[in-house]
Amino acid sequence: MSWHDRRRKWQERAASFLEIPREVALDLPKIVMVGDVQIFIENHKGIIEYSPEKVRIRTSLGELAVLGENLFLRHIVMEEIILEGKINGVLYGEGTD
Amino acid sequence: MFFQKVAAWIFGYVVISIRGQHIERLINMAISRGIILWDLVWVSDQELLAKIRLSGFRPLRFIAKRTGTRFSLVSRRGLPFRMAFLKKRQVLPIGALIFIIALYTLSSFVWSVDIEGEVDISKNSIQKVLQQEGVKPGKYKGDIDIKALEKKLVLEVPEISWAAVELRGTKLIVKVVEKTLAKDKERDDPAHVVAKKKGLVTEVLVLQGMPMVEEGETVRKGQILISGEVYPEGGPFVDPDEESKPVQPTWVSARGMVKAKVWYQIYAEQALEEKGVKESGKQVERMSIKWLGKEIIIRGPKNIGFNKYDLKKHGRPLFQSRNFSLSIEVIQSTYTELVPYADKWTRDEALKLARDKAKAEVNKILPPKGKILKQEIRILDTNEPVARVELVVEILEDIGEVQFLK
Repeated sequence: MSWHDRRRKWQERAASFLEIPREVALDLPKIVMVGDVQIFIENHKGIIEYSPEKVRIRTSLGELAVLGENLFLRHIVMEEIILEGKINGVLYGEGTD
Repeated sequence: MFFQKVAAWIFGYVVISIRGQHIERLINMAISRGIILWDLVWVSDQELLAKIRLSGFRPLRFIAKRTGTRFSLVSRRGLPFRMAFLKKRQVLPIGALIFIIALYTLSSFVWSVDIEGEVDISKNSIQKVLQQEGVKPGKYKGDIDIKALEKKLVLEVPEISWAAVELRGTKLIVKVVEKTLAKDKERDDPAHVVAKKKGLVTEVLVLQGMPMVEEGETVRKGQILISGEVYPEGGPFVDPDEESKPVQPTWVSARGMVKAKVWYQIYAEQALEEKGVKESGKQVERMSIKWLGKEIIIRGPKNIGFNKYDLKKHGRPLFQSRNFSLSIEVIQSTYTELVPYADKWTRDEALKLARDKAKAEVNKILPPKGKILKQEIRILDTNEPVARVELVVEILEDIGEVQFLK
């Protein structure tokens, strides 16, 4: 177990003990989907690629790809992104932290 | 989201079209600088439409230069752009402003003064006080000290015991309660107590003065019951030895209570068949403005819809001051529907109704402290289709009435 993993585990324990939302304590993205029409990503680090078929978003866990058709950014600010369109898949890919 | 949209609309936003290779970089830089973007839609492979707040437009131009993208304005939306047409029509906002100011100023004056409550004696003196204070149509509302006016009314008008002043819109309403105190009691001038009715005296209670009647005596109307002319004990001729010199009487304000039996004869009738009109209970109110002989309805229906009605009109000038009056009059009309009716009764029913009428009449003539001793009803026979009754009532009441000599 690396030092990084150990630290992470402790953070997680502390967060669950104190009932702090994980996305806050661990700086994780919070993703909420409404059916396949809307996806709401909180705590993002910017977008990497934006096209109607594929939107790649940088998060603390690496890259997050949203695949679909006719995707478009409904709203984008510092903390959150709202994507709309027909969503076919959401997957975490490799990438930098 | 909703509030953001409303805010965006109020502050204004623009739709821009972005072209270039590094659109993602442009978006990232924009959001890190706090520029709010929304509804980013691809139109083609190279062109993106986006909405942006007006305040973010200038910074975005700077970012675009750095990322090597170009953008152009597609349309302007929101309140700032909507208001832009006012620049061409500058009189319009001025007119709107004048209208609002006029409405505000006109509503800050008193337009009418109403006095409510049972004001029989005190109406004139209330009006006088109001006039002294300058409270009349046309007075600025802010200048009226309601508390002080209420106090002043109670102080200056002796007949009222309570006053409330209320500003309802442009209407000033004065509500008062009159003292029930009889005026005579305050006067202490020489007076007699005289009979106001014919009757048989049953009780005499003298508070001040000389009793002139005894129990069991019949008195006629206007007869002195308690005299205000008081002689020392022994009557007008106190000392017969001293050359029968009349002693000067002293004058007092006679007071007392003289109870007497008074008889009343009440006649009532009820026709067996009755035709006429009566109120149906329906009412229609109409407000109109009369100007130059024309009446313009401002509220209420054009057609009243009643066949027969009773019309009460109440008009008052819209604005009036001492030497100026607009010839505009506001007229409030109340239409009360009248419906014809025809009632038939049997003789017994009619008699009963006549009797009820007579009894109602008794209650009308019964003084506050009077007592009904005896009631006798007599049916007057007739061949006519009318039931007639006669009611003889014996009432015990105070028949005394203070009569001042001067």
